[in-house]
This record gives sequence, C-alpha cells and structure tokens, in this order.
Amino acid sequence: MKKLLFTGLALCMGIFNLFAQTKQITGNVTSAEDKQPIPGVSVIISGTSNGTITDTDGNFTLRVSEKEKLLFSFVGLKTVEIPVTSSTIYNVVMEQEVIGMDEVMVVAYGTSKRSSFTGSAQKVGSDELVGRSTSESIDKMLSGKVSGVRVSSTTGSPGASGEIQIRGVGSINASTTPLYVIDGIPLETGTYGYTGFSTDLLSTLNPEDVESMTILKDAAASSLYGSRAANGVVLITTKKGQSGATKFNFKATYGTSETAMDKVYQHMSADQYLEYVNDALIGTYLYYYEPGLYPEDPGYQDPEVLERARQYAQEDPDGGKWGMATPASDTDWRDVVYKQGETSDFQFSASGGGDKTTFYTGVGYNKIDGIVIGSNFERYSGRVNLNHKATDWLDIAVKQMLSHTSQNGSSDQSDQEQGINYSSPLSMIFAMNPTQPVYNPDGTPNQDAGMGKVKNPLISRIGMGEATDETYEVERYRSLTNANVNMQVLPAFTIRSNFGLDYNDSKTRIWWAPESVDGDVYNGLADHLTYTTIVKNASVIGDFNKTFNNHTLQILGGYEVESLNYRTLQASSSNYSTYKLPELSNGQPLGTGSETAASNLMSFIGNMNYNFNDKLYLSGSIRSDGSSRLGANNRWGNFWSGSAAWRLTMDNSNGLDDIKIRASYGTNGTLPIDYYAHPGLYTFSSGYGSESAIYPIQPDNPNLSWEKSDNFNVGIDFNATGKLSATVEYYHKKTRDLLMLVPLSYLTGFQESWQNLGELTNKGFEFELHSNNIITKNFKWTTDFNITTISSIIDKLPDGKDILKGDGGMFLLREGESINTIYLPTYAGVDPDNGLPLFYLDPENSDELTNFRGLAKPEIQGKSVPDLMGGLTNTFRWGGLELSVLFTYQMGGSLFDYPGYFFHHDGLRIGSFNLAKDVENNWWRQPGDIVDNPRPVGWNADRPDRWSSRHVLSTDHLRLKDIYLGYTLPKSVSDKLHMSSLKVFVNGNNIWTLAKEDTIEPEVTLNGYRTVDTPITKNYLFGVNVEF
Amino acid sequence: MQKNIFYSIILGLALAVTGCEDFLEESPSGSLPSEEAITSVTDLNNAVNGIYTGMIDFDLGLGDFTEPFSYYGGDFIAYAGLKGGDLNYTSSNNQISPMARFEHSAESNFAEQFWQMPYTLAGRVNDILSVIDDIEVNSDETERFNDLKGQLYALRALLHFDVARMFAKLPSITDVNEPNTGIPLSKEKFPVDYEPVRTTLKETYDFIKSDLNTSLELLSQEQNLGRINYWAALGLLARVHLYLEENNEALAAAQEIISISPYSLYTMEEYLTVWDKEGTSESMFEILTNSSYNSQRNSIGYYTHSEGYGEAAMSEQGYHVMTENPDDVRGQLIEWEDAEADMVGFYIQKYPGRDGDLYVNNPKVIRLSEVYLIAAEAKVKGGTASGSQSAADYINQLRQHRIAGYSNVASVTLDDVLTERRKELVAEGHRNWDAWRNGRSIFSPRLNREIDGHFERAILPIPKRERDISPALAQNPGY
Repeated sequence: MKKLLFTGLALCMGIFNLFAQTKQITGNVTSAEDKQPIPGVSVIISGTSNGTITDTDGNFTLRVSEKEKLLFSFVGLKTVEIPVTSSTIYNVVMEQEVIGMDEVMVVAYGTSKRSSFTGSAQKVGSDELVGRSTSESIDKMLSGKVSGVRVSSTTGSPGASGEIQIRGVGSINASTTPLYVIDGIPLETGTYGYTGFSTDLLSTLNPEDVESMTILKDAAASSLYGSRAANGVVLITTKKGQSGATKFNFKATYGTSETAMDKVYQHMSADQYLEYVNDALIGTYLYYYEPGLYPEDPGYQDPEVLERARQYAQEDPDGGKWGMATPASDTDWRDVVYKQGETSDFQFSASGGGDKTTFYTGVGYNKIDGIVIGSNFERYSGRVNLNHKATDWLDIAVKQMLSHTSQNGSSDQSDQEQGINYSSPLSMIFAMNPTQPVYNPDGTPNQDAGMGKVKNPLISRIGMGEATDETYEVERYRSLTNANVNMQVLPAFTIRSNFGLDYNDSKTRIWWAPESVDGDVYNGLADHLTYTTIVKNASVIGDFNKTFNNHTLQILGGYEVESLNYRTLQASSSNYSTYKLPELSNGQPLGTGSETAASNLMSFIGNMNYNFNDKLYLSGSIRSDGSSRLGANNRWGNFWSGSAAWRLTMDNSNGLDDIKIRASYGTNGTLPIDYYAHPGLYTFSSGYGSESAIYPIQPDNPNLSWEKSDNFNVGIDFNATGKLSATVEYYHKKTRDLLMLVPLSYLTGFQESWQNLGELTNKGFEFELHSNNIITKNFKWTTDFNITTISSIIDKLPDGKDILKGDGGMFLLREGESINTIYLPTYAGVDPDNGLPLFYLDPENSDELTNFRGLAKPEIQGKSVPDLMGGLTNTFRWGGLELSVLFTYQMGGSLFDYPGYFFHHDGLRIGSFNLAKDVENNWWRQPGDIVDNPRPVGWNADRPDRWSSRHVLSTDHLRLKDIYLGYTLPKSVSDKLHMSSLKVFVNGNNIWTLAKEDTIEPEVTLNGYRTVDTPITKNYLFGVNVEF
Repeated sequence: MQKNIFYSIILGLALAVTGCEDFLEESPSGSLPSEEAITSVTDLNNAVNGIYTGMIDFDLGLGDFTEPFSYYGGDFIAYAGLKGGDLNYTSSNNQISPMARFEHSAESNFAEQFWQMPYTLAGRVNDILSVIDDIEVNSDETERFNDLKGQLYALRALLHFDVARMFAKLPSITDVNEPNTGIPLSKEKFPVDYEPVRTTLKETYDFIKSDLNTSLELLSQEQNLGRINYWAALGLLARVHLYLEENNEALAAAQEIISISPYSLYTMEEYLTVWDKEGTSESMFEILTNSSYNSQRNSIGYYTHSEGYGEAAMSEQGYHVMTENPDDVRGQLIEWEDAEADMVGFYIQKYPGRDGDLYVNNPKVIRLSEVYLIAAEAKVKGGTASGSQSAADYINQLRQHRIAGYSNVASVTLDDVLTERRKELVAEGHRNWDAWRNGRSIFSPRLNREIDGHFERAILPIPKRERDISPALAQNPGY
C-alpha cells in the first residue's frame, strides 16, 4: 500500500517536471451559481496528462503552447474546453452540471445527447449506484432510482437473483425481464444451474466497474433491439480511462446484516405450542372419534363428549412425541437458524493514459455471509478496458472482464411449485420443537430437537462437514470480451464494428450427506452439473452524420448476428461410505447426462435521426429479426418505431429554460423462453428396464411466433438550469399474441402447449423530479423524486375464458382484470360460539357463510401488481460531509403468504410444524373468544387452513432503502497523507420499514408469491475510499 | 490502401460469424421431432416402453409435477389398500396417506394426478397408434409388430379400467346406462383444444373390453418380462368381466389361463422368497423397475416400510386377517418395523427392495393367484364355462400352496373367496374395489366406520383443472 501511494505520488510529481513549454498562463475559475472561486478544479492540456489544479482562491498557473486546448473539469460541474490563444490570462466560469439536457447518454447502438433524444430513457451514474448503495449485484442497486423500474427478489440469500421489471409486467408466460446490454453486447442473465437454488449470472459483474446504466423504456429508445426489447433494455457501460495522470482508487467496505423486518417468521413459544397441541388433539377427538365439532354432529357442545376429548388429549395417544410433558425449554429456533450476516468488499482500480491510449483497470473482492448458517457469496473479479486511437481515422477498444464467484447455501424455494422442503432454512425454524433445548446438558447438539425427520439445525446445517449436511454450491467463471473498432471512413461516415464473446461456466454441486433428510435414502448423494454458455455476437454498423445549415441528419444501418450455445454435463453418485469425502468418485455412480442447445438470431437494423436547429427532432427505426426459436412459418419479424420531439426554449423570466415535448410509437417483441417450443418432440432420454424408452413431450406448433407489443409514449421535459428538471410521461404498451402456456386436457397426452393467444395492456404515468433546493458554496441540498403508476390489465384470453394459474389455480387470468390477480375463498373469521372457521359460500353473490373452506367459492382478493411505486432521495452536502437518504415506497399490491399458510395450519400439521407467533393467544379456546384463528383440529380433513383471503397480505410499505453518510477529509489532511482524496462512509440498506403487514417481507417479486425462503436483509456498512 | 484492407477484414469477420445458411435451423440434443421418432419396429418397441416407464416414473418422466406422484410405482397401489382399510399410515408425511381419510377435493393433487397419469399415458398410446401404419415392417418383423400393437391396445384398456375404478362408481352397484356415469374415452389422438366429456359406464366398459379383445388377436403367448402378453391381457379381461358380473365370460377366460398358460402358483417353500425377484412363476405382468428407473420416494417399497415414508403399514384389522391362521405362510410376510421411532408398526414385506434398494420393486399388475380367485368368485356367483372346476377346487389349490397342513374343503361361500382374495392380494391394489363391487363395506380405521361403494368420497372428484378446460365434463356427486 505504501509503495503504491509512493508510486502514485511520484507520478503526480512527474507532471510538473515534464514541463518544457513555451509560455506561462494564469487564470481564475469561478462558479456561475454564486460567483465564488472554485478550488481543486483540474486544468489539463487536452490530449495530454499535463496540468494542474486550482488553489483555494480558484487560481492556477500553467505552461502551455499555442494551438493546445485547456480542459477544466470538476465533479458536478460542466467540463469547459478553451483553446489557447495569444492571451496569457484565462478566467473561466463553470456551470453546474445538473441533470442537464446536454448529458450524453449511451443509447441503442450509439450515444445521444439527452436534449436531442426523442425516446424515454434514463441514465443512472455510478455515483448513484455504488456511490450510495451496497450490494453484490448491480440490479439490486437500481431500486427507487428510476421511474418505471421495479426491483425485487425472492430470497435474501447472498448472490440470489433479483428481478427487474420495467413498466409493468410484459408477459404472462414468457420472459418479463429486460434485455441487458453491456458495452454494446447483449448479456446473458438467468440461473443456468439447478432450480431450487436462486442464483443469477448478473452477480458475476462487479458493480464497481460500471460507469453508468441507461434504462430504455419506450419504443423509440428500445425498438432497435427488436424481438428482445418488449420488457425494456438496460444498457450497462463500463468505466473508461481519461488521459492524464494515473488515478488510483482503493475502497474497502465492511458490514453486518440481519432480517429487514424484525417480526418476520417468529414462532410460537413452547408453552403456547403445548396448549395449542392439546387443543388440536381435543379437536381431533371431536372430529374423528366422537363427532362434536359441527352443529350437526351428535356430540356438538355436549359437555360429556368434550370431557372425553380432553381426556384423550391428556392421554396423548402418540406417546408424547411432541413433548406433551412439561417443556424442557423455550427455544427460539429462529435465533439458531438466522444469525448476523457479514459483508466485506475490497476494490482497487487504476485509470489514466496518454494521447493515444487510455485504460481503466479494476480488481475487486466481495464476500457476503448470509444470515442463514453456511450461506455465503464470494466474488473475485478483474477488468481491463483499453481504448486506443490508432490513426486519425481508426479507434479501437478492447474490454476484458474475468470473474469467479462461488455461492453456497441450502436449497431454497424460489421455484414456487416446489412446496415446502423440510431442509430449507425457513421450514427448519418451524419444524423444530420449541419445547426442546438446542443443546444437551453435556453441550452436544440435541438430536431430538426436530419434529418428524428434520434434524437440529446445528447438526443438519449446511457446510459444517457433518453426516447430516445438505449443501448447494454454485461456482462460476465468466469471461466477457468486447472488441470494438471505429473507422472514420469519410468525415460524415463512420463504420463501427463490435465483437463480443461471453463465456460462462457455472458449476453446481449438490451434496446430501448420508444421514441428511434428503440424502438418507440414497445413503449420500452428490450431484454435479456443469453448465457452459457461450454467446458470440458480431455487428457492423454504418453511421452517416451530417449537418447542413440548421439541419442535422444521422442515418444508421447495420447487420448483427448472435449465437448462443450451451452445453451441460451432469453426473451423480450415491451410496457413500463416508460423509467426509463428498467427491463423486467416493460414491457409487448413479447417473450421467449431457445436453447441448443453441439459439441463433440474425438481424438487420436501420435508424434515422433528424434535428432541425435543436428545435424539432424526428427519429425512426426499424429492425428485422430472424430467430431459430420460432416456427418455420413465422421466423422473421419486423419491429419499428417513429418519434418526434419539439423543444420550446423560453426566456428566463418565468424560470424555465427549456421545455421539450416528445411522443413515440413503435413495436417490439419477446421471444419464447424455450429454444425449441415449436416442434412436436419425442424425448429419448428415458429407459425401461435395460431398454430405451421414448415418449412425446411436446405437441407441435409451426405457427409459434413472438409476442408483439405496440408502445405509445408521450412526455414533457422541463428544465430550469441549475434549479430543477422534471419529466412527466404517459406510457401505453399493448402486447398481442401473448405466448401462453395453455393448459390442455390430459386426454391429449400433454399438459400444456405454447400458443400465441391473448392480449395485455400496461399503462401508467411516470413523474421524475430533480431539484437543487439549496446550492451555496458550502451547503448543497438536492432532491430526486420519482413516482410511477402501473396498471397491467389482461385484455383478451383464448375464447375469453378465465384461466387459473399457479399452484392450486390461485392466480386468476380474466379479461379486464390485472395480471397476477389472486383468486381465493374469502375467510370471514372465527365463529365466537364454536370456534369454527367461517368462509363466504359464494362471496360474489351472497353473504351466506359456511364452515367448510372446500365449499367456499373464490373471489378476487387482490393483485400483486402495485398501483404506484417510487423513490425519494435527498442528498445533503456540507463541506466534506455528504448525506444521502433514499426512501422507496409501493402501494396497492398484495402478496400471497405461502410460508404463512404453513405456519397458520389450524392444527393440521401438529407434530410437523410450529405456528407463527401471531397465533399466540389468538386461537379459539372457549365460547365467546373473538380471535383470528379457528379452534385447532389435528389432521383436519376439512382443511380450513387451505389458501384463502387469510393468506393474502398487503405489500404497501415505505422503506428507508439506503442511507449514506460520507465524509471527505479536508484536502490539507489528505495531502499530508499523499492522497488526492480520502473519504470515510457509513451506509445502511433497508434499515427501517413502515409496512401495513409487519410479519412478512413486502418486497416480493411481481407474481406476488412469497416463497418459503430467507427474507431480505438490512445491512449496516462502513467503508473507506482513497484516491491517489 | 491500408484502409481498404482493414475494412475488408472487419466486414469479413462479421460475416464469418454467421456461418452457414441454416443458421436459423436448430434442433434439440435430447429429442426428435415426432415424424422422425417412430419409423421402425425398434422405435415402436421403445415407444411402447415409454408407456410402461411412465407407469412407474414419479412424474411420468415429464419433470413438471407439482408434487411427485407415481401410478403403478406406488401411489395407485397404496390408494386401494389405504381406502380399503387393510393398510394404514403411521407417519405424518401426508404423501398418499390422506387416502386413508378419504381426503381429496377437486383441487387436490390426488384427483388431478390420478387423472393425469393414466390419461397422459393413453395419449401416448394414441400418439403411437396414429403413426403405427407408417412404420416400415420387414416380413420377419410382423409378429413382433403385431405383439407391440397388441400391447398398446391392452395398455389402453388397463389405463381406462383404472380411471373408471377411481373416478366412476363400480358397474355392479350402478345403473350403467345413466348419462355421465362413465369416464371420457381416450380413443384417438386428440387436437390440443380437445374438451372431454363423460360417457355412460356401459360405454366405458364396452370400450375397455373391446380394446382387450383387439389385443388378444395380436398379442404373443410367449412369456415376456415387463410386458403384457396374451395371458396377461386375458387375465385382465377376466377381471373386467368379474367387475361387470359377467361370470361366464370371467370364468372362461380364467379357466383358459389356468389350463393352458405357462404360469404356476408359488409353492409354500418359495412364497416368502419371491418378492424381491423378477419374473417369478406366477407373474403374468409386472412393471420393471431398477436403480435408474423407479418411483423414488413415491415407490410402493418406500411407502410400505418404516425406514421410508411409513404410509402403508398394516392396519390393526389387516394385521389380524393376515395372521389369524398361524399355518398360513402369508402371515409371515408381516413384520414389525421400528427403523424410525415415529413410524413403528407392522409392515407387509411384499416390497422388500431388490438389492437392498427400497425403490426397486416390480409392481405386479396381474398374477396367477388372482386368476384362481377370479375363477372361484365367478363360479360361486353361478358362472359356467366348459372345463371349469368347482369354486372349492380353485380355492383348495390356492390354499394348498399357502397353508401348511391344509385339508381341502368341500364348498366355499362368496365371503370365503373374498377373504382369500383379501389375504392373497393384500397391498397389491385390490381391497376396496373387491369389497365394494360385491356390495360389501370396508372398515376405515381413520374414519372409524364402515364405508361402502356408495359413499361419495369412495370415488375421486373429476379434477377442477380438467373441468375448467371442459365445462361440459360432469362432476361426481358430492364434490
């Protein structure tokens, strides 16, 4: 470290020694805001690394030669370029670079000034991402920062996938995630491993390498990506070196984590559980032995029958297996399974360069220990970005990223059809007997702590090298290569060519030790899967750009091909003689498998932009895509957009500098997720006895096509330079030919088939405001606010018929209703007289009640899509101090509480599961009790616990998503330490939440299905950032 | 000049990535388009295997079951025993055990998957039958081709018979001509938008008999491990006739098997040793399992052991029936198991697991003992057929192979035959239907009362999912 500092310092000194120029100039830099001098402004001779910085009075002195240019730059201010003339005095006024309309954004196949862009897109810089949030994955840092973008995740396990949706839900059965493009190359995202363990390729990217992200929302912005753009596009741009002195940056962060919601997944105390079990056994007697539960039963409210039921419960027919005796302990198993998590992150980067070549290079290490014992995530990454100007007509750039990640944990339930797995951490909390101590008196873990087959988490927990281990491990290697050539063929015509290679190798290893819950029957099982993907991409773009008087015309045409190949290799072994050696060769071979698949895309693109005098902007685009995923009859499709903007530049008298009105219309699409969804297929992978077996797995559909969406967008941008800017937009996206997995009668021999049926509309308003509330020399207060309304309504379904979707048909697809509408019977509470549950028999038509959930008809209980959501960031800067506070909020959505269903089991699962804490003293015990939970009945075949409105909870919440407090030490201090900047900071994520329901984590994925998984965490982090 | 070279290289590289002109034609590495899948008799053989393997796979080999479920591999066999009251669960694993409580609704997995499994397999049969005439058959392959075709018809009959037993009332206690008493018939390859409707029970059973009769004309009489042959199809036909109380036909078919088929009854000595073997002397049709292809935790072996799910132990009454005669070797198949403390009980040893693997047990769909019992029952009910013996003769022959020091009886009653059936076929998927079709009830240890075939939950509801697709598909009463 010291050596590096010294080297850095030596380089800085070198700048001054290299001077051998012709004349000395001086000057002063002031702020346009307050006319005060600005210290610390970098003054550099353009194209060189020579320069200086202004002193405390804003003055500078420099030796230059004529014909050179001076470049004045300072964070937060617009960079100024001034040619050196014969003068020796250069006084410069620098303007605030706020949210300006002249910001350059990376857009589809190029860049655009924000002022001339006719579509809907928003840029998020690294300051807002890694500068204010901490996460292992860049997608999770977008939360609350961009209107129209919703971020969520199924589990809080480190490395787990996040979910981003742009402007609602674009599809019912096909993908709803946006296309990611990194430095011009589409990026593979997704699991690429076994389901049952949430991971995502996005976590292989180091967020620190990212310079900016641009979110493309409407057709004008995204239609150039054609058949993959219907869910929006996220463009990621990595950092680039600046010519000048080499800058080093070192950042270290450390933090701890715990569940974001304190009350989530608390269980019943031992005493309460015993009383509950006792009541459940009374219920069992009255249900099975001497019917007396229901008014029509002979033993109904008969004191003698009740006495015999009590007797039965006391005698405990099952031999005390639930600890019916006096509790030996009152154990909080949540504290055993969930512990404090830890995060550490180290980043080191260097950037700089000379006239012709600039570079950025960064290495990073990130390690997170999750709140569940044994769950962790680790990433090593390195990146080199090189830009080189070979000749006056040729620029080349090569970007190379390498990373290695490993993620360990236990099986999760991120696939909602998995049900509850006894070995998942959350079910372990509830499958433990609260009356049992964690340890035996001799200090060893208590073997009898679990109910049923579940072991004490201390011995069945993961990664402990025990005979009861169940571990899941994903290890990934990723290489991302990007080579870019830019040729200036004629002054007005350039050719750009891009080559990308994305190589990803994911290795999943599952180990169920011989005595684990799942490994028992195999006498140990190891299953290894290697999943290799290679994506090759090449494009050639010709770009004509010319200005005639007031007319600027840009025409762009190109050709792009992409091929994605994956290969899997799987092997498993069972029958292990020791739990200590989990490698495949130490067990008996069980099975092997391999598979390859490919998906190819060929495209032609064209784009035209016209600008009249920076007043009127017109733009049009077209893309033709051919995809191997589609049926021969519908393989090629065309996507286009047209847009216009009109800029009314006003005088300053009413405070508004700039108003721009823009509108766009266009189409884009979504391809099927399956690579081979269109042919009728027989699988050959099975066997019968020692012979092969083949059978049909998919009916054919030669007409299978993409989903098409028609997008309309209209917006107004306001800008009062230096004060505020605001955007209001209305979007309307109609998606046709939805790829629906239509359920088929089993008599066809198939369960479902992909068909292009149905229509869906997403629409809403977006509002964004960026305001500089107070800007003085020493104090600065800015506010960023955004709000989005969402409505995702199904317009048309096959034959207009309702479709029930999801586990048990709990989601309703109905014309005129929101996507992911939850459709279940309505729970009316508990009858105080007899403790029986009450449900509305036919809630849409009458008030009649029934005790039987099975007879109750469903009705709409809510929808997962919220009505509105957004974020509010306030940033304060005072001297070297910076405080940034981001609140996110969401209203009008609901979730289905699947864990809550297991933990409010009304007695059904006594002996298997404990109950949620909110059932304590809240179940019916005697006539007159006004409670939320019915009298428990062990193994109740009438199943009042089955899904109903009881399990539908609001996701309304306001969350302190990020709070960031940084302090940059005074220059005098950092100078003494030979650093150009030294900053210490604290950062908190999710540390406070105001939610309508405080027993469940409200940030749920857009299908609204809260799975039986580890909740997301709140994190407290501390860090230091050094530049030299 | 340098520029031109450079442009050419760059453009050339970009185009080279495209490769050949079928760039947009891709096909999967693990499957073939239907038209290429079945073109030879060997393919046909493998396609027929695809139906057999679906009968024991825990998810039909589709990998997309909400909860794993196996047809003949386990759940279907446990279903009859749990609903028949001779089996009972000791655990709270709640896999198939809710059947002992008759706990199933139209939304439940039980209804859906017991429907899905046989009908999906019938769909596979029809898919094969739709292309079977395009297969090139060499002259020396005709016999094998016919045999495979016969297996398809016999399988389709068996699949429908099972659906009818689970989802429709038994024909002997129902007006078979009432509309919607039967089940939908999977007669042909249906289009994807097909909406099934129910038939009458008579139409259902006519279809089953017709398929079996078609198969008998095609099937080989050779013993063929793991496949339906002529004798197995004839035995199933005898069983169907018995269910329909067509006693003459049942008896004639059973007698033909007894007098001509190559199968012989297990001897006393071998009775306890046959259960972990393949292709034993009585086995007319068993479905193959091995360590690669089995029902895993939904296998009958896993259900019937304490070290598995403990979901199909012997009930108290089942234990007493089986062990009432100490000389009866069948009682020795019951053993006390306490591998898991909360699943202790008496368990049947018919599925001990081959080579120590509880998952690997070939379920026997039909074996010779049942044919003797069919003959005896048909005879007791007044059936006649040429060459047939007395009901007591059939029972005596069976008992001589089961009871040490047995002396023949002169006559037997229907209840004698049914009790013998209960003992011989325990845990093989018969008990509830045998009682109910004869107007008897069973005692349910979990509902603590007698249940007869008219109890609404004796049969399963038509799954809600299927009725959402086809609103005209009538529901069973009570659901």
